[in-house]
Formats: sequence, structure tokens, C-alpha cells
Amino acid sequence: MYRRIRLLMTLTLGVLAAMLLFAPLDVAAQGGSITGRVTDSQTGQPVAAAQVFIAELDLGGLTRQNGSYLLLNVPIGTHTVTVQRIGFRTTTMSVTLGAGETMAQNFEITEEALSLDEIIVTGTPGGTQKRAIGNVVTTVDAAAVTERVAIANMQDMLTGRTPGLQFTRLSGNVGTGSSIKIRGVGSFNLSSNPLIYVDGVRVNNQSRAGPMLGYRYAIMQDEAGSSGGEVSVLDDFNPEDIESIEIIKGPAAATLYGTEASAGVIQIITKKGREGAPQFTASVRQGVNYMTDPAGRLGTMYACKTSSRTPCAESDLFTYNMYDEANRYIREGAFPWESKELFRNGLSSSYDLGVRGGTSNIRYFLSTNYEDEGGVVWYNNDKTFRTRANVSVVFSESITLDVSSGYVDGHTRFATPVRSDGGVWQDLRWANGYFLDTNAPGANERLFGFQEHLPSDVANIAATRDYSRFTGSATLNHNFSSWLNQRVVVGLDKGWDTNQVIFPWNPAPPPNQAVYSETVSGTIDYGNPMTEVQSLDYSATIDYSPLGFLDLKTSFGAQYSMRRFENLRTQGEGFASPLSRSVNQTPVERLTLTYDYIENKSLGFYVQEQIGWNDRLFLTGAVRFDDNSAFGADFEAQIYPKFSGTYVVSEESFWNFDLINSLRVRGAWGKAGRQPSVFAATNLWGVIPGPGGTAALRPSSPGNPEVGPEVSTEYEAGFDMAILDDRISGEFTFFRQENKDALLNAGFAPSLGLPGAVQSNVGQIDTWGWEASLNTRVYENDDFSFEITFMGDHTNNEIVDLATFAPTGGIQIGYPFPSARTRYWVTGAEFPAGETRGTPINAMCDPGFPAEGVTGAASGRRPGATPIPCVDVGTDPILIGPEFYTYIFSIAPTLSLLDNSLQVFAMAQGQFGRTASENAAEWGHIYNNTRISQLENNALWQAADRGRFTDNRTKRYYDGDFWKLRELGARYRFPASLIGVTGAESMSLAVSARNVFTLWQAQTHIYDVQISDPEYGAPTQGGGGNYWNMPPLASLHMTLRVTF
Amino acid sequence: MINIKRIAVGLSLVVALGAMGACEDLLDVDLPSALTDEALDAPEGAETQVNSVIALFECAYSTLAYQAAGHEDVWEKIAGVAGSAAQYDAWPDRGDCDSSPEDDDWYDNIQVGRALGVKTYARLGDWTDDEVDDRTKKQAIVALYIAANMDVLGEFFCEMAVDGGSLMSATETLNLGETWIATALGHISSLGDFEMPYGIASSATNMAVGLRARMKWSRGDLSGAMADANAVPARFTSWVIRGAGPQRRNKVYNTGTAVGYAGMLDVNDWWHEGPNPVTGQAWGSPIPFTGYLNLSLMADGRAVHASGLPVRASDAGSSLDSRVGHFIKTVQGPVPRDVPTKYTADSDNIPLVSWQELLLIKAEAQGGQAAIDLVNELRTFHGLPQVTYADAGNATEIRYMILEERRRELFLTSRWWASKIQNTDLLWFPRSTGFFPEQGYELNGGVRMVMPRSEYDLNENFTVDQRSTGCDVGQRPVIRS
Repeated sequence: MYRRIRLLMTLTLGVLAAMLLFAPLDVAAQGGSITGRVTDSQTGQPVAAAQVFIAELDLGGLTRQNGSYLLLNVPIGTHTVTVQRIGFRTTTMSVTLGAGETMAQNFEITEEALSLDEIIVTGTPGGTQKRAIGNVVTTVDAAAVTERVAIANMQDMLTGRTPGLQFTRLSGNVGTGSSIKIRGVGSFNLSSNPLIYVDGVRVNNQSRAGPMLGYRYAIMQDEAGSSGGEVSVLDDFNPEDIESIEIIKGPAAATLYGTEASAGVIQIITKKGREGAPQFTASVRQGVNYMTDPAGRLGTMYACKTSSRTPCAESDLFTYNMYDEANRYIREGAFPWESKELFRNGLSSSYDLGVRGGTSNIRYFLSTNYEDEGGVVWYNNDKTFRTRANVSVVFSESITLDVSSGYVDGHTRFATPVRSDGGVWQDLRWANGYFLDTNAPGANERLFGFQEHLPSDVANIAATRDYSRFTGSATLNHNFSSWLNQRVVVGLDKGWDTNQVIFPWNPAPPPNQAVYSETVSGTIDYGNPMTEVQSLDYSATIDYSPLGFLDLKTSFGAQYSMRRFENLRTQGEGFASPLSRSVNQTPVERLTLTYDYIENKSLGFYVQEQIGWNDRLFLTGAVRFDDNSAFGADFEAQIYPKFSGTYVVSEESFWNFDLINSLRVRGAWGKAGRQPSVFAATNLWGVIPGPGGTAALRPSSPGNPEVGPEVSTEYEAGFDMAILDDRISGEFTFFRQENKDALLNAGFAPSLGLPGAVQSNVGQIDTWGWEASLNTRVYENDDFSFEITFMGDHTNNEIVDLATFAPTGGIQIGYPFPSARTRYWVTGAEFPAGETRGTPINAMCDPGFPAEGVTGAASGRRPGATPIPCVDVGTDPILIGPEFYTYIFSIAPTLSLLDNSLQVFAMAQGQFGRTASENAAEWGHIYNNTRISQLENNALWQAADRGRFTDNRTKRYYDGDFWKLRELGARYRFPASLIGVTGAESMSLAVSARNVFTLWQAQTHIYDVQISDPEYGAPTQGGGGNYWNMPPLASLHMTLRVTF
Repeated sequence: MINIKRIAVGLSLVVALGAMGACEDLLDVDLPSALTDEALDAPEGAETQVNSVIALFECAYSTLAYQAAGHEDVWEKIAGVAGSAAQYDAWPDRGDCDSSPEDDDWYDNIQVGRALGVKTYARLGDWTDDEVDDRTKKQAIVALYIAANMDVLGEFFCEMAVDGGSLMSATETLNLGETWIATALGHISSLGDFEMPYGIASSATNMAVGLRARMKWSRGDLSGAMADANAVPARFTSWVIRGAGPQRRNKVYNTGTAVGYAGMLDVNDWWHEGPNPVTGQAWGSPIPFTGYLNLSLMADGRAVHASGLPVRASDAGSSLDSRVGHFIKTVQGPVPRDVPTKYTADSDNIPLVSWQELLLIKAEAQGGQAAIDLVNELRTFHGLPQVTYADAGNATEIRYMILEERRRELFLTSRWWASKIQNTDLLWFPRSTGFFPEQGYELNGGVRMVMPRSEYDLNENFTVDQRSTGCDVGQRPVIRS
């Protein structure tokens, strides 16, 4: 693969060099010119990437890193030059240019708190000004973020910058990603992944790619119905290539995207070329990924000197820490290990080179990137090569073409590949200190006290993903006169993966022949999933102003998309040799082949009318018609309407409130959908092995010809406000969604002989919440400024209707989804009611069992105890709490010094309301490495432990609230006097740290079991549990960026 | 301009509506990996459907044999990180039993195979001899497998329903199975006896009659069972056949020997939770008729003591019983376990109708010296000591002898579970094993299963309150809601 990477890098750099050679010829055009610099009126700093243009001539370009611009071939005469930049007030200036003259004109622009003139990608041609949109749309200035702080993935990019957006942080396994939810969970069975568009085309939004990792029950199913991994393909994109990201948050805003848009839309806009000489940007990022305090995350572990079984006499207890013990074993050479300690500082590096430039007719942005992320175990790494080429061609005043293309190629080796158990972390957490003495009775002398595998056993298993992906789009814009703007977008996103999990032939010496519980002679799981999304989008906007104060925009369009998934997967058992590493080295009769092929097509049309009054009041109405190949034959096409209104009231002449200098109110109502799974409408039969080697059939899933999409209806209302001359600004939005026709799996009476269940549109989940952000410029002068940004959101949901569906498990009317529950409730006075999470737990019950005659110590059983009086609430379990965070807050102070050359910043994030689970606590009875479980002298623990066997899972639940320091860093822009000798235009050095400190966590222990991290592991929405995955990692990086 | 705009908008709407009308073609998808109902419509696929009925039963029965081993006190399952017990359960697990070697699921495949069999039988009736080769033979085979499914549903459940219908008692279920046997025999007689395909049995007639003998025995018709057993020649066996390979799991083999998830147990000596629910008497300590480790025979053929405890290697003068072999194998965890040698490869077949069982049915039906002679016929076959100790006039001793002989002779074939259902006054049931005795604590008695909860919830003909009402007290499971 690396040979291929080198080749691709060489080719890319060759193209870059060619552009460098030829571009100056293009820019040497005839005519007058206007040049100058654009600076921030408050800081005096140059403003890069500002649009400088003469609207009537359709002539313009972007400022360079040093704020300079150059407009060539400007006709003689007086022109109005406009400067626009996201986040700044639009500034215009009249310039008169003489024949052959080069006019110098500098601009000072002022930062705008609310950015109401910012152009938002809404699904209609050309985008829409923010002031005209009735919904809240969060825009992340990705280019600014990457310039300031090291960004390794999308989670780094968006966390703490987008209220209403949640990540499920699964693990510290480098190469894995996080699923994204916008405004919470509104579906029982369908994905809550938002739609993702890159440069206007729809792309694969799967968050379960890669091989199956870790404990099998942690794994969510992919769309083929088979288990998937923990990779988010969103991380395929290079953050350095992204100009901005727009988060469209709910059905009211996403109506124009139709079916599948209920969960929101993420628009990624990559960097584009701009007129001017080539401008190169090179950046080098170096750093480490590491686990903070691994020994402390395990906590003090307890074991008994006299027995591996409990209870233990207090006098026989001793303490140890298995992480420290592992390091001792490594020093002693007890097992092979390629780093000095069990967990290393994984090196992290990234190299980016990009160039942008062009003429008035052709503009380009080219980039290449190589990234190498190392995990804390030596064999965990993710190496990625990416390249991008974006070209814009201006054919005429009315026709332009934007071509965007990206390619990624990479290889990941994961950290936790043991199929039926966890990996290294589990073997630490469930160590038994009694067996540190390998001569102890019953000891497996090769394990040294590790629970089931040596770390080197786990390292010998290879779980890998090799991936390639192409994403490309072509956008043809046509502006007919000034009233018709139409656009055609063609897109292709295609990814090819090779996933492997190999358990080598690795017998242990007698008498313990098995290293892995799964296999002695080896297994291999080899798959080649291919995912493809093709899209075609036509849309047009007719702009008409019948009266000077009235602006009408009629938009209409059609979108067609096809999504295809294909995977040929082979699983083999029994290698021919200990050296065997491929599927052809297992016997044919022990091969299992599975083949999945899924195709889905959707077609939608929309019509939208926007009425603008004096550029202040906007009313928008739209309707979208959708049909989808997954809809049942008896289901008609879906219709999604929307209405919205927004009013910039502060621009009215009657507005006399000087305190509030900007105020916009807005509201929206709309619908969007989620499509059922591809096969939901069809009875399917699977092939099973028949007698005598024949093929046989078995019904695999019944279909529902009436199945349709889930339909989400949302209203939202809010305001954007700036006060004290933009010194304080913010926005607030309240939303409420009714997610009707939620699909639930309605089973059949088994006696009908139809296995499985049909998806039926019978449920409803309501989701509600609010989102707020507030930016305060606490102090600022020419040399020094200090500002703080606050963000917060609240998201909750409730199951409100199940129609004919019989409540089961967590699907109960009145409950949030997903939720933690218990069936039993203690009634004894000694266990007072109250908080059910964590310690003390009062939601448990146990009838007890007699101590007398119970002699099960040899098999690990505990003696009996006094029964805990309780009630069995039967089929209506008691709610403990939601298994998702309901409140998220962030605080991000920024201190700017030395005329803004030096920025020091931090971001802390707090998450609240989630009932989290720590499975290691649940299993603490068997893996007795805590004081309580060794002594067995805690009545609550005993009751909770026994309850584990009667569907009472409260022993594992805890209060998952926490505050973490997400980002901490500084960025220094070298002054021109320093970098002048280098010939560079600008140079900056950034140092940043991420997740380096947990500031506070509500609960650190459950019955003596250390909670290794409060954040990771969501049991039902993305897998999890806290023993089979690495805790999330921290990182420390330094980035040098040069523009020349 | 206004006109142009209106025209443009109007045209777009017309185009949009027109395109919506053409949606169906644009939205056609190609799904080559999926087979739909159409796959069953063509008579050319009749052979596949027959094979499907066989395969579904085989798959389920293989797993049932493993599940039954838990009911029979055979072993302790130590799979995974926690070690759940292969223990008695009140209801069967649903699902696709081939998904994993650890899965206990089998019930769906019994019902799916039965339902597919009924539909296939109907289709075969609709098709003609010109369309389907050996149509009558196929009808006979399908009917036979429908009956085999009904046998399982009748033998091990309190009550049963088929095709979403009303509750049937175990006897009614078995009777329905016997009607399918009659149907099969009708087709067989019209053709003449034939060999079952794939080495399943040398005679379709003997397989049908032997299966009917078992059904009759299960519903207490000993004389009828003996009559059918007598009609089946010696040494006849029909098999649940297993191909090698991971997709045709032999759960008994995999869990008991190959992967080693389960370890065999010694005579139970710790259960004191409750009395025998039928007799009200406390269980003995150790409990009789339990344990499979080191089972031995005395020189006089004695396999069981008067207490009901088996003869073990520790009994002086005994020799090991080769029918219940085991060996030490290291499995997951630090402690090596005893695993059975009953199946040595995952392609080993499981007996469905065995001459040994038919012999013991006859012994049970006749009792006395005839029973001793029939047991000795088995012993001779295996080269084991003849029974000389038994008093032919002592009914208890004869009963004990037959029970213990069934336990050993039919080891790991699901048949001992059926014996326990017939003898709840004497045989210990259920047991709870593994690391977690709590898992079995609520199961204080009862030997049959009930259907999965979903049947009671979703079948409009009865309610969940009727669970287990089809069982006698001694056979009724204790069900946690």
C-alpha cells in the first residue's frame, strides 16, 4: 500500500508543480487592476478568504492569507467594490479606475456578531442568506478551526462547536469513529445518522464500517443486517480540505432533502480555488495520542492471598494494580511486547500540502495529505493518504462549472479485536491478583493473572481495514439574466474496503491448549464491502421583484439518488499452518460465504416560494414529494411540507433600542422522513445448507407491503441577538419534533412459521429541546482581547404512542429512548427510595437464598444472604434514566495577545443526564478484584449482584455526568518581519491538547469498581460497555503552518 | 416576465407530477442477493423445498439435542466470559439455530420447517407428476418430516399451537403428528417402501413406524408403541444427518467436544432448594439418576443402585460403561474439563429413530424377565456385562434398570429428557448448574416447556394466562413473567 501512496503523492505533487509553472502565464492578463489588503477593523489583522468582488461585472476573488487581493482586467470607470467574509459585515466602496491604472484600495471590515448575510447551502441554487432562513443553521468555519487547533477527525472538529449535536464516543481505539446524532434519537430501529453532503452531493453516511471488533453484542448492525464495525466513514475526509460545515438540524430545516433527512443534514463545503497566483499552504502536525493515567483508571485492585474465590478474610486481602503488574512483566520479558510499557504514547503526524489559485476563467484547489495516527498499544495505527482536486471553470457570464473530487486510501489496524471478549483492557480489568503467583492452585501459569489472554495474545490477532474512496461532483450553474438561476449537480461517492480479522493458529502449550476461546487452529473473516452513492440534482430559482420592497423567489427541483452496498464475505476456520494468514489456507468445507447486495433508489421533487419584504421579513413555504424503492407496493409517495418565517426586526426604522443592535426572530414548521430498510416491504428467503450438500431455503424475513417512511414533524422558534454593539451576541432555539409512523418490529405468532418480524409504522417518539450559544467579547483593544463562547443544548425524548405494538423492554409509553430500566424495586425501609443510579441503588430485589447448605464456593458461588424485600413490577419496568446525555454545555475562553498574533484558548465541555453503564461493575462478582466483592460484606452490593441474574441490571448503572477539558492550546502567528526572509506570506505555530483532563465526574466508583471513563460506551445506541474497549485517549499536538 | 415565471413554474409542476407517475421505473432495484416468494412457485424447485423441510428439521434437532442435554443434567456450559449454564429453561429460544455454535435457538426452525412442510405438501398436491419427478415420494418425505416436527412439539411442551390456531394439548399435538405419519405411510404404500435420501434411513416405512412408536410411547400408549416397535426390524436407525462444516453445526459435538464450551458433571450432590414437587419428598443427597462422569457397570450387570444412584468407577468391582465415554480436555479457563466422546466429528449423525430406543420401549411395555432379556440384548451388542442381578418380580428394580439403561444408551440424543417427562415422581428435575445457581432458582419443578411468550401475546386464540395450563403439576415449569 505504501508504494501506492508514494506513487500517488508523487503524481499529486507533480500536478501541483505543473500548476505552479503555468499559472503565472494565466494571470498575466490585460487591463486595469485593483489591489489592496483587507484587515479586521478591530484587530488590524489581515483577513484571509474574504470575497472581494465587483458584482455588476461578475468579477472577484478571495483574499490571500496576508489579506491581499488583486482584481485584474477591470474595465475603466467607476465601480462598487464589495468585500464579504463570513462573520463580517459586508463593506462596499466606490472605486474609479483610469486606463491602465493599478488602483490601490485597502478595506477594513468589521466582525459581525450574527452574520446575517452569510450564504447558507439550503438545497436551492446559489444558497440563501442566513437572514432569509427561518431555521437555525450552525456554520462551523472549519478552515479557521484547523488553523488554530489540531483536528484528527470530525468529532474533534464539531464537538463543542455545534449545539444540538451529540457524538457517541465509543473508545480510544485509533481508527474507529463516533456516530453522530442531531437533536437526539427520534427512531426505534432506523439510523439516527444525519445525511451527509459534500459539495452538494450526497455521500455515504455509515458509522459502522470496518471489521467486527470487540464484544459482539457491542456491535450495531450495518445496513446489510450483518454486524459491522466502529469506523465512521465521515472521518475519510481531510479536515484540512474543508472550508466550512453547515449543520441543518431537523425536519423543519431539512424538508427539501426529503426522506432520510429527519435526522438532519451535514453539508461539507470543501475549499475552492480563487483567482490569483498560486498560493501554497503547507502544514505539519506532530504529536502523540495517549491514555491519561491508565493505572488510575483501573483503580486499586484487590485480591486474596489464600484463594481465587470469595469471600476473602480481610486479613488476607492485598492490593495491586494490573497495569503496573503488566509493565513489570514487560520489563522482565515475560511475554513479547514492542513498547517499553503496556501503553505507549502513540505518535501522531499529519502532512498537508495545498495550493489554490487560478485565472478569471479557471480556479483550482489541489491538496494532498498523509496522516499517521498511532494508538496506545503498539499495533494500533491508522495511516491515510488523501488527495483532492477542485476546479471551477467560468465558461461565460452565465455558465460556470465546479468540479470537486477527492480520493482517500488508507490502512487501519485496530486495537481490540477479540471476537467474543474485549481486548487488552478487559484482560487488565478482570485480572485476578491471586494468580499473579503462577504457582497458585488452579493458575494458568502462562496468563500471569491476566483474565483470559496475555496482551501479546491479543496483539497476535489482526483486525484490519484497507479502504479506498472516491468522492466527486460536478455542479453546473446557469444564471439566465438576473431572474433565473438553475443548477445541475451530478455526484458519485464510491468506497471499497477490505476488512479482515485473523486469529492465528496459536495453541498454547499443554495442559492449557487454548490461547483463544474462539479457536485453536485459527480463523479468518475476510470481507470486501463496496458502498456507492450516485446522485443527480436539478434545481432552479426564479427571482422576481414586482415591487421594490417585495422580492419573490420561486424554487423547484428534483433529486434522484441511488445507493448500493455489496459485500462478499468469507469466513474460514482451521489454518493449514501456523504461518497461514489468508482465507485460501483454510479447508473448503470449513468456509462460510455470505453475500449481501442492497440497492435503494429515491426520487423527490420540491417547489418552494420565498417572499421577502424589504430584505427584513421573509416567509417561505415549500412542499416536497418523495418516493423510494423501499416503500411498500401499497404505499403511496410521501409529501413533506414546510413553512418558515424570519424577521430582522432590528433593521426597522422604529427600532430604537440601542442596547440591542441586532435582533432577528424566526420560526419554522416542516416535515421530513426516514426510509424503512431496503427489504422491509418484501418477503425474503435465505439459502441454508441442505442435506447431501444441496441448497435449501429458509424464510429469512417477512415483508410488509404497507410499510412507509417514518415521518418527523418539527416546529422550532428562536432568535438571534447582538447587544452592546456586537459585544455580546448569541442565539436561542427551541424545537419540538413529533416522529410519527416510527417503525417497530411487529412479530408473528411463532406457530405461523414465519421467523422474524415485519417493520410496521405504528410508534411515535416526541423529541424536544433547546439550543443556545452566547459569545461575549469581555475586553478588547488593539493589542489584547478576551472573549468567551458559551454553548448549551438540551435534548430529550419520550415514547408517546405504540398503537398495536405490545410494550417490551425499553419500548414503553412515557419512557425516553433508549433508557435504563429495572424490573424490581426494593420496598424495605433500609433502602430508601431516591436516586436510582449509582450508589446507593435502591432499584433491586432479591428473594434471597439460604446460606445453609450452599457449598458452591468451588464453582464460584457466594453463600446466601438475607432476602431484600421487594416488589416485582413485572412487565412495566421502572425507569432509571435515559441512556443519552440530555444537557451538554461548553465554555470556550480565548485570549488574544500581541495584536492577535498569539491566541491562547481552551474549551471545556460538560455533559449531563445520562444513565451510563459500566459492565465491569456488573461482572465484578466473578472477577473479584474489588474490596467489596472480595469481602462480600456489603448488603446492597450483594442484593444488586444477585439481582443481575434476575434481569435487574442496576449494578452496572451510574451517573455519567462529567466535565472535561476538551481543548487547550495556543497559536502564534509569526510577524511579517520574522517570516519575510523566508519568502512566506504567513506562518503560524499551534500547540494544542485534547481531552487531557477530566475536570469533574459525578461518580467515580460503583461498589468499589473504578469507572474507567464516564463518557464512553452507549449500550444501545452504538455499542459500548466499559470493559471491552479502550477508554478514550488524550492527545497533544504541535502544528506548523506556512503559506507561500 | 411574469408570464415566463408562471409558465416555468407551471411546467416544472407538470414535469414533477409526470415524473412521479414514472417513478416506478426509476425506482426499480436489482436485488440479486435476495430470494422472494416467487422462488417457491415453480415446480422445478420442488426438490429444493423438500430438502428445505429436511434441513430445517435437522438444524433444529441438532440444537434440541444440545438443549436437551442441559435438561438431562449432562453438563455445565462454561462458554464465554461468564459461563451460563446449559440448564433447564421454561421456554425454548427462538431464532436461527445455525448462527453460532453457542446458540440454543431451535424452536423457530421446528415451526418454520413444519409450516413450510405443510405448504410444500399442498404445492406438491397442486402440481402434477409431469411437473415434478417422484412427486408421491416427495409427498411422503414431507409428510414424514411434518410428523417429526409434531413429535418434538408434542413430546416436550405443555401445550402447542400450529399456524396461529387454538391451543392443543400434548396428546392432541402427538395425534396430529400421527395423522401425518398415516399420510406418509399412505403415499409409501402406493409406491412401495423406499430408501430415504441422503442416507437418512434404509426404509421410509420403518422410519415412519418407528417414529409413531415413539409418539405413542410419549402419550402413554405403551401397547401401541410396542406394536409399532415390533414392526421395526432390529438394528434399524434413521438419522438426523449432519454435513461437516460450520454452517451445519452439530451443537452437541461443538459444545461438548470440539470447542469445549461444556464440561460433564458428576452426580448431583448439592441441590437442596426444594422438595420433589410431585411427591413432596425432599431429594436425596446425592440425587438419584444424575451425573455422567465415570459411569460404570458391576459384573452382574448392575448399573444403578437401589437408591437410584448410578454405579460409578469408585464402586469396587465395577468397570467403565463405554456408552458414556469422556476424556479430559482443556477448554476456556484454567481448569481442564471432562467432555463426552459421544460425537467425535461435526459430521456425526444423531439418531432420530433408533432400534435401541424401540427395544427399551418394548422392555418398558413388557416388564419382568422380558425387560431383562431386552436390556441384555443391548448389553450383548455393546459387549457389556449381562444383567443377572435383577429380580424379574421386583417392579421397582426393573423400572430403575430400564431408566438407567435409557440414560446411558440414549446419552446425548434428547431421549432421556423424554424419559424424565414420563417419570416426574421419581426423577430429579430440574437442575441448575454453572457459576450462577440463582439462574435456576425459580425453576422449582416442571419438566415440559411452554411456547415462547410471543405466541401467547400474538396468537388471538389464547392469552398469556394460559401458559402451562396444558401440563400436569408434575410436568409444569415455573415461569417468571
